[in-house]
Amino acid sequence: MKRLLVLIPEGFFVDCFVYSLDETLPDSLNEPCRLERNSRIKLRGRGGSDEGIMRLIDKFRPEAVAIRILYGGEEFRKSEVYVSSLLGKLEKLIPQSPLHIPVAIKLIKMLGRTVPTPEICLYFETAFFADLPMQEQMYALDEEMPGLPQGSFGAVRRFGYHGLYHWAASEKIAEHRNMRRILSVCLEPVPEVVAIYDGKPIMVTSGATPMEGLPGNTTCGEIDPGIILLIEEKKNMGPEMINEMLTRHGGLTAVAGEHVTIDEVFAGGDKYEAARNLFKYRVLLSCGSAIGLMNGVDAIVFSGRYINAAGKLSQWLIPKLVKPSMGTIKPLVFCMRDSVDRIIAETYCRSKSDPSHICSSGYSRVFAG
Amino acid sequence: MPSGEEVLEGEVQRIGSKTTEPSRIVHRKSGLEVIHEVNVQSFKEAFSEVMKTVGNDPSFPPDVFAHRLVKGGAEFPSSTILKEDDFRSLDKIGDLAPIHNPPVVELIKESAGKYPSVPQVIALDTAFHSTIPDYAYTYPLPESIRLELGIRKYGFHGISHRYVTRKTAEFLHIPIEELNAVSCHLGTGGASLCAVVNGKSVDNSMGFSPLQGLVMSTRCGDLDPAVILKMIAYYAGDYSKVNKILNKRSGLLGLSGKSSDIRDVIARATETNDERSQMALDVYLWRIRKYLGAYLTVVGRADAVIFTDTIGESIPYVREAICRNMDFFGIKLDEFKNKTISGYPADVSAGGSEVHIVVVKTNEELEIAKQAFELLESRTARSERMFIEPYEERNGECIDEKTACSNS
Repeated sequence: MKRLLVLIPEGFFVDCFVYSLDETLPDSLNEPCRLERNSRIKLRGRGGSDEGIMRLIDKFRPEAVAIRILYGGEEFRKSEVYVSSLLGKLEKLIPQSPLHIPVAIKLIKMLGRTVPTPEICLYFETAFFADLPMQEQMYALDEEMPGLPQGSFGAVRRFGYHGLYHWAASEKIAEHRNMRRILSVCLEPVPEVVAIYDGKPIMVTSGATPMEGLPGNTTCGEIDPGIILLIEEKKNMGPEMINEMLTRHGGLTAVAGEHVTIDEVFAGGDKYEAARNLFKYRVLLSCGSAIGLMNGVDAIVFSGRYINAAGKLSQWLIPKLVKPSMGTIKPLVFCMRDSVDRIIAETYCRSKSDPSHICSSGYSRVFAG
Repeated sequence: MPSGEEVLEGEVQRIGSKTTEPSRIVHRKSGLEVIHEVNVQSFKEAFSEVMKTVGNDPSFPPDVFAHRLVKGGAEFPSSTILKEDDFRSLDKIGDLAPIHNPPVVELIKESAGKYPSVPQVIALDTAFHSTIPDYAYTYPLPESIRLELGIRKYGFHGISHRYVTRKTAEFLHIPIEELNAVSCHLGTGGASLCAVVNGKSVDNSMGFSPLQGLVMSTRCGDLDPAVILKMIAYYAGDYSKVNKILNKRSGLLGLSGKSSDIRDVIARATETNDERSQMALDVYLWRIRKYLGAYLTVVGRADAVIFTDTIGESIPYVREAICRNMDFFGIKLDEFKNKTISGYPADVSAGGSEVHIVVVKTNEELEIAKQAFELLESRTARSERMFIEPYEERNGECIDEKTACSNS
């Protein structure tokens, strides 16, 4: 039995998923892989990643390991099979993503020491957004101004951070005809709305980091830049403290007054009404922007771990997105229940039979054809 | 208010910020426009130059000087006639709107110094946005810090949005309480969009400060909070440096590297194919289209998209680019009408457009004058009331200016 180990670093942990791969491909495209084991391993300290992951490798002997990497800058515009020449490229990205790239490098080096070394595949969440239109990428800043954080090739720019979900959404919809304008709503702890036109993302709510955009479980999302300057001045708080407040004590948790998640906000009653209303309104604004830029919408796809919230959200949202100009044609609405590890596993399987099936900067297999 | 007739008007253009043309005073009276080129680096200098031009006019000194204040904070929560004590508080409001408030304070002090017997009125720009609902004005930050620092969306350009919304309702013969619209105030300095439902503001692209939202002449508009934190770290916590970069060195000036004026940017992009100017123009228009789509969705059934202020009124290119490919929302612009406006308000929508596209000349000055007149009237009424009803006054029925307004 061939197996794939999928590693998803999340904060201080690595979520590990072992998939058994169907060897009858490509005939059974609908279920190319099956989840066998799901475990969470601490990244540091006793019983940390080295030990835990090595145990998994010893037990399951995967033919390949897929690592999800949150940030790939402009260098990584598609998923990659790791070769040693990529290490330097990854190391160059450390200043831009100091929390995520070092973890990925550590995992790669650890896997490189195993015998036999499995194939290592890298899946970048930002790859789908590498070719966002320039007017969407850019902030209204002077790129020559000292002090501005720099991107891979110059000025700081906007990316999206759930590229795998959005790419998979556009792949699924591509199976239907005349679906050029897709609104992809990813309900993860840090949620994201993307406008996908002809298979390419043209707008995304996240920014240079996942902090911008929609409010999440604990992340503030977009706020007036003047507020940060005010807090810094009046509260005498440094950037680290402000960052802590904006990313761990903001968002729906701040509005609800207690720790909540998106699905809890939608499942809860009056207690979470303020948080729910704020979230729905921010999603509406983002969808309006996306639809404005695409001059309409053919399909709306919900995805992410809080997909169960999509029912109530879409019931409220979709009537507001339908305009008389659409006549009797209403946008198709999909709920994509695949987790990101399954998306990676399926992508891996299909890329074995069709090398063009990789998550890349906006061109999906079907649209490229 | 009496007729509201304008006796003279004018403006000082291109004060301070680097542009490709010199500062100038535009002075209009009885249909005659005179332009003086001057060199003015500050608002105080601008006031002096204006006084040289109009100080001998029979309309001077006026009955009141009225100033637009974009944000008054706790010191000045509503439009008011300044009392002696208030002048000391003026120094505390500069940071609330770093681009706008300091010049206003400078002008108030200068005019009060030159004409000490003339009352000074401030008219608040945020009042129109007091109807924005809580889910739109709340920032998802801890409640303690929101309350302590008064953090919420206030919205700006309210005087203009209110004026053009009413004017549009009149023009389209729609009762103001039934008008749904998106108002686009596109100025040479600041710019904002306002979502209007039933004649009331329900959202504004500016937020706690005038820094949020669209790309402006020198302001960045929307920006990832993490980018600002990085900048604060780079400048070792020097708030004023970061503030200056985001407020005075960003926006169109930052993007184009040459000019903060969108008219210059358009000229460079279209006439000389300057790539950086083209990119600045693209980013500027893209951001407006994002907000327009968002607000048209919020508004639901829209009666009108309104364009106003210098850019919104006078640059057909900008209107055309914003309205292009918006037919999903029922917006269709007539290119010919758009280029040949002969009077305001003008409807430049094409036949079959479900949404009117109305170009309205804003008149913030008239709106401010109305507010000043009402405040002076209410003060007079209050004085008369105090004179004839001293007993009630002592019993606290008329304890402050606001109460006096509502009583009268």
